[in-house]
Amino acid sequence: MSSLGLTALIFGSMLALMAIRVPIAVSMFSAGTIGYLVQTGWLPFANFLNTQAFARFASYDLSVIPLFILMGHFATKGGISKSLFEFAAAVMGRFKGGLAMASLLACAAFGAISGSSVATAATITGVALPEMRRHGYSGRIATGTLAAGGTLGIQLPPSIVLVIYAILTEQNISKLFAAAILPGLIAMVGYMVAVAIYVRAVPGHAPEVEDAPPPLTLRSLLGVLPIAVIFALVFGGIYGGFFTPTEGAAVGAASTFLTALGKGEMSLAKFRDCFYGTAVSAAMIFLIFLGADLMNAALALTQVPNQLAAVVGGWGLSPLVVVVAILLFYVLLGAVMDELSMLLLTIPIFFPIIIGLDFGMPRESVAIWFGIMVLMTVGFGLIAPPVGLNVYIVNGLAKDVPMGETYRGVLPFLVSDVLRTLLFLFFPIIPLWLVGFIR
Amino acid sequence: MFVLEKLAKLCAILAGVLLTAITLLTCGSLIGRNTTGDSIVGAFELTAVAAGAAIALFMPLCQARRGNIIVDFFTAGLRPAVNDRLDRLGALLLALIFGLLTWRTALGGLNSYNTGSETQIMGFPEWVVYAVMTPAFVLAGLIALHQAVFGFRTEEAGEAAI
Amino acid sequence: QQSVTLKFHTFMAPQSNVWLSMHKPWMDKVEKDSGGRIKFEAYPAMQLGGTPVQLYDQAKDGVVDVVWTLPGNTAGRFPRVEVFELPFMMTNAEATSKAYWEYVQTVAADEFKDTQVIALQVHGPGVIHTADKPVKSVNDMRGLKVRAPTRQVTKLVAALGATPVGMPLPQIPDALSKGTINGCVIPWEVVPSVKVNELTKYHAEFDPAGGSLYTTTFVMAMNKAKYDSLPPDLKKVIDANSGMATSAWLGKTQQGNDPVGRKSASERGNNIFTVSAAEAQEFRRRSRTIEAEWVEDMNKRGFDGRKLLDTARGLIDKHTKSTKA
Ligand code: NA
Ligand code: NA
Repeated sequence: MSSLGLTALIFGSMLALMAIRVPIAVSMFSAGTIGYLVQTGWLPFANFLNTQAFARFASYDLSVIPLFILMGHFATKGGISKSLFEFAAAVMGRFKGGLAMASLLACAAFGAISGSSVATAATITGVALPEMRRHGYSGRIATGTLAAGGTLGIQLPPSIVLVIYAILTEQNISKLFAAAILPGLIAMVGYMVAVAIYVRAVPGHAPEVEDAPPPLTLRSLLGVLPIAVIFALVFGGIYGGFFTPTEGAAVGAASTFLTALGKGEMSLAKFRDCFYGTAVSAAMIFLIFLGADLMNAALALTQVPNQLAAVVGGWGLSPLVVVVAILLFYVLLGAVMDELSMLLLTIPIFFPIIIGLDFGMPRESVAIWFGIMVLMTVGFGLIAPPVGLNVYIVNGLAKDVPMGETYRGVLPFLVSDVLRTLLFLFFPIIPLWLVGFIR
Repeated sequence: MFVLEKLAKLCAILAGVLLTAITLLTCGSLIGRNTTGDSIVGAFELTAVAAGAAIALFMPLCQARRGNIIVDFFTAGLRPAVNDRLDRLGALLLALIFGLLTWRTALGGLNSYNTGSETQIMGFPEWVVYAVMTPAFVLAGLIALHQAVFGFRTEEAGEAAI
Repeated sequence: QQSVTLKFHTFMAPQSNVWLSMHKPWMDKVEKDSGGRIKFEAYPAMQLGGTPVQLYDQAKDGVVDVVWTLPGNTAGRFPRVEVFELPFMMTNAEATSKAYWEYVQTVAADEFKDTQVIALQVHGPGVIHTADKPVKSVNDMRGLKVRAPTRQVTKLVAALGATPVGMPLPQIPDALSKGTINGCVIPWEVVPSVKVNELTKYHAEFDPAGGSLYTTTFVMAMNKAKYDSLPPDLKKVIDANSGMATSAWLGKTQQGNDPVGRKSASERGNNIFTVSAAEAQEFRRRSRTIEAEWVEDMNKRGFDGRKLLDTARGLIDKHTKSTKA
């Protein structure tokens, strides 16, 4: 079979299995297995598996992922996210659509210590959704806001997506984190503007008159103090040279754990729930990693990825066109695939193409800027129909809201996403500006 | 299934405690490094092996709670009975994969034990991690097999991913 | 006529010196010597999966055919080879690689018995790179946070009074730029790839006459069954590109890349200096305990540690003299 035929076989079997509800990790694993076996026979494949689970799971670079997830759960169960939302509501409450904006603010604050979009969405939904519904927000705008707000967990540093991108492309994690700060803040503001416009343009989704906002008391200020301290500790420690970004994840998890203990809100049952929640997310992500390993090894054996960069380079397209084409391809692929698997499969193939093009910037800047562009499409894909993971999560927590309503609710945020992506596409300086301050 | 799920929960708790312990250990080491200069030099290797064991121990509960995400877009219009049968097929495939992984990981662990593989700086024996992974994979496989044969007990979908 | 395709797998990046000046030329030569009947499929940067730690087993188990990797990645597995990574053992990479090859053939052959060993080599002398203050004496090491590459260098750094910090190689630039570490210990060749020329100002070398600070061992190994399955004439081609001469060539070539890294630092006006003979003596004195520990560890494993150490030293001595001549 030709190289291209093999590639088609591997991708085809993966997509076919996914389409019939086989778990994504299993689809990738199976397709990789088929591709591997066809090319090498049984023994090399079987022996490859002897060490692969160990190689992937016991990896120092990836150990930040379960730590970030664990941290998110400690923060939720320790009552930290509740205090956060109360504070945000006191700040934003006076505006029309104020509680929705408060949810976004809480998502951003939580996202600044959590690396996970789903953890952020689930955490803030738990405290904000009941409040919004009680105050008369429609299911559409409440769930849409929370699904979009959740993506701030990866748009703002720390971000699991950026960690994975950094590992796949051998880029500096601290610089990528720095590059994400401005875009993340712009995302938050953009989402708030989307809410403000939507609640005015489409009546009936937010209360006409907000109830008097809860007062900004000392107690609500004290409630957010732990988040501020953890944030300062982790980022001060990383950028102050006390520990590496990987070690920072451990510091974050440990300090969240100790804060939760200190607040006295943790019981044994809550600890148990933290571990259960971490188990489900972390295992699911790492099984996808394993599946992607098999897919990638099988694809590498076809030699197609190695040739692709040369082929695309030979077309002589303008660099910006190539980037736009790749981003559009991500939007299409992300419509049917989960974004993590998508990155694991495509970054090793696309990155050499991008880095080989001339954007009139140093290679490292190109790599960081492209990372931020990829992050934008991942955020988009997490809420875009038909397969938007965040929409699933939030909708799953809002039993009385039909899925279609949630998808309608994310539309204003998708518009905001597109505008922001275009902004950074034409003005790479926005993400790169802060990176300039790091040696 | 009751027993399997109990075991899965036990594994998850074990892994969670392990992860928490390693974060506290890392912090201790970092405080030492930035004050007195005493630190646990290979702490990063311990983080890696602890994470490796923990991730494997998380697998059974993830499968018990159906945390491995699926794409339901293409099959949304089909009857629930058809979807149920497809889900059981997915669980069967997953059981097969965990069977394969159990077998090969056990071999990898034996090889690691016989050759005395250790981590580079601390010299932590790697077979220990394999020895934790293998039974965890057995349990995950059994849970998936049970689901494939008897169907899904709970509709409790997991929260997951990036 | 039978021809064969071999998969070559390593962790080195496709744009690295090691890949371009050692691996590619070696593969090209084998292809040419075989009249094109041996072909390589080349996979740098772990493209076929796993991590560097798994490479040796991948060759052993036939997942791939040829690998280039570090025995030190799985330290407990090749204990006797570690003698070459002890402080102040190596002189230059060519001679030390020859000694390494002969040592393994004579006193440690069973450590690599699971594969067909093609070459055993070391890199050029390790150098101490520091950001803010030069290391001219042992006392200058006190209080520094230094990233160390191997188990033996970690012990050395601690014995010299510095705080060893463990982290993977790619994290060096980030850690140096923020002061998470104040320095690192790597050979010149690796310096530009982790920007150590930009992020440090002082570079302490040692006169190789008294032994260089440290080196790291490498192995290029082939799957045994694959080798055995080759027709006699192709086996000969592999044999002709294996052994002491190939090991020496790889070592020499790798050290040959050192001047490029050194130049990248001197061009920036960095301070490169040689530790004085008297101070180097003090470094060596402090490192004795590490030698003693290694000997003790070998004795525990049922080998004669002292004899192994003396053998390795004698071989390095012998080959250093003959290589110079
Ligand atoms: Na974040
Ligand atoms: Na999507």
